[in-house]
Amino acid sequence: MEKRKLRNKLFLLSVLALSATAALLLLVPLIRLMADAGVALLRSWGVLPGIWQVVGNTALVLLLVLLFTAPAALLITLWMYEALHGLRLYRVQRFLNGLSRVPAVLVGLLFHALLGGAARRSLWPTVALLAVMCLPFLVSRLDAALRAVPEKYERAGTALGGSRMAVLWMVLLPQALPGIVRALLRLAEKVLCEATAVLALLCAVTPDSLLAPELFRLTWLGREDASVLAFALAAGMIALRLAAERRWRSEGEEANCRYNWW
Amino acid sequence: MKRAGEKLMRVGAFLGGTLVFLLLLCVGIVGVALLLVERASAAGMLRSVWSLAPTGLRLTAFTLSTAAAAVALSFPLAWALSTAIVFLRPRRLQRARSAVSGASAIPAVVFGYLGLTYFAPAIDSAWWGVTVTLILMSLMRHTLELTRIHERFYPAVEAAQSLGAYIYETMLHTVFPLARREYLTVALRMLARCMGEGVAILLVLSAYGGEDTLVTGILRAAGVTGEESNVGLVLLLAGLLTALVLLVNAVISLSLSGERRSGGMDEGEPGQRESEREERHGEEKTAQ
Repeated sequence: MEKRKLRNKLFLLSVLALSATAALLLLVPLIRLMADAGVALLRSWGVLPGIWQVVGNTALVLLLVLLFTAPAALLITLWMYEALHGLRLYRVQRFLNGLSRVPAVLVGLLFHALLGGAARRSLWPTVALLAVMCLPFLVSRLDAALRAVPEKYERAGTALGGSRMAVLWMVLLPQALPGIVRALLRLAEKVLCEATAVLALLCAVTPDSLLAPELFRLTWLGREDASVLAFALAAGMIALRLAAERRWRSEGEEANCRYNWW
Repeated sequence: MKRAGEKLMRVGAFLGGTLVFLLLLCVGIVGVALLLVERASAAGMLRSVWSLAPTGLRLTAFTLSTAAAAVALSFPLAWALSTAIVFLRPRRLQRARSAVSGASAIPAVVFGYLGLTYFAPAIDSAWWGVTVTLILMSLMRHTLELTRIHERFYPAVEAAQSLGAYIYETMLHTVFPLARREYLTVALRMLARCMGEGVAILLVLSAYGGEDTLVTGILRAAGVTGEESNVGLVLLLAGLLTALVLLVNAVISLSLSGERRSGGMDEGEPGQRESEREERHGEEKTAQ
């Protein structure tokens, strides 16, 4: 009995020690980054106008990518819902999941072969590239959001006389809205994170382009103000993720119905 | 209104199908065009690629060893953190999960900056510099995925503890056997992600010189860092990277299908409903 207790205490201590190590490993550099960013910001206040231009460009590219990708992804998700069932649906879903896990550098390489230096001259090839790259990711997310709606809702809709499409329009889409918004926010995250490798391959990492590529450029040049951008990017992404993870009112109601194990 | 919505959905589904068909057609046309363009110089290209094979293998070994070490070192840390979050302080689970999720959203390029600025000056070896950056990068993602897995075992944990098991017995004899395939899947996914990281690692390696991973090798050979581009090396490294990613994805698929056969949960697979899952399992049985 005593031996079991001792083992349990040792286990708990090792879990706590490892957890503390993990938390410190991440927190210490982030706190140092925050301090460095504060100092750099105080030293060179003039860096701000440049940052706002980068933020503006990033917002524009994000908006354009969303405008291109979201409707196309929604249409493909509708087609998957309407036309695919059973094993075929499963295979398409697996294929899309695999496609969305392809490293950005391989996609960038393909576009490098196709476009050459065109992305350096205009914003549109970059937007088109990012839109195509993110399409499988968004389709698989939207599909997952639609299928996360409990099946009982669909059965209730069908029992009330609704056709498959009517149930989708009137029951499933409103219920899946939080998941759809979440998928769009995750798309914004993906664009912000993975644009750098692709733009670097297209030799399109120009001054004042997008947030992440600009951070890459400034760090590569050894500039001190890179810390401000790094901190801004980290804070922005955390805020975006927290917004994506936020529980919506309807979801909260659903959660209240579940049994709380603790 | 109801009819109009229904019609709209039908038209949308038709347009979606057409879009998929057009996209596949475009991919086919581009593939054939690339093959035709490259056919003339294919033999010469193959010879030049073959001569670069030792370089490719060296970079593959560096990539695999750093990624595997990062996953092996970050997994116990992430496992302990997720265990502490889920089983030791369940009342604060929501907040802790949000914090972990937020930290996991930090882009890789920021970790590249952190690695170059704070870790590279203190670490002499390029291998350790890259490994530490990859650990930082994957730690919170790892924790988030393990937290999601652990949360699903609340009922089993509750049952084990009602029978008088201590937490270490619960974890070792209840949770671990149930979740081992999912642990493997998470670790493999993380391995694939670590192997695919590029720009951040390029930043860290700029402090050392002489070593490269497959992705940084591609970036350098494509002329991103201002060096002369080498098409043969790019093709070789892209091929090796694709092969590695495909291999890892195949092992993930095998692991998931093994779980299905052994009657485990279908989590980690594409989102499907119960009826769709039953229909698929029926079709699979018929095909066998």
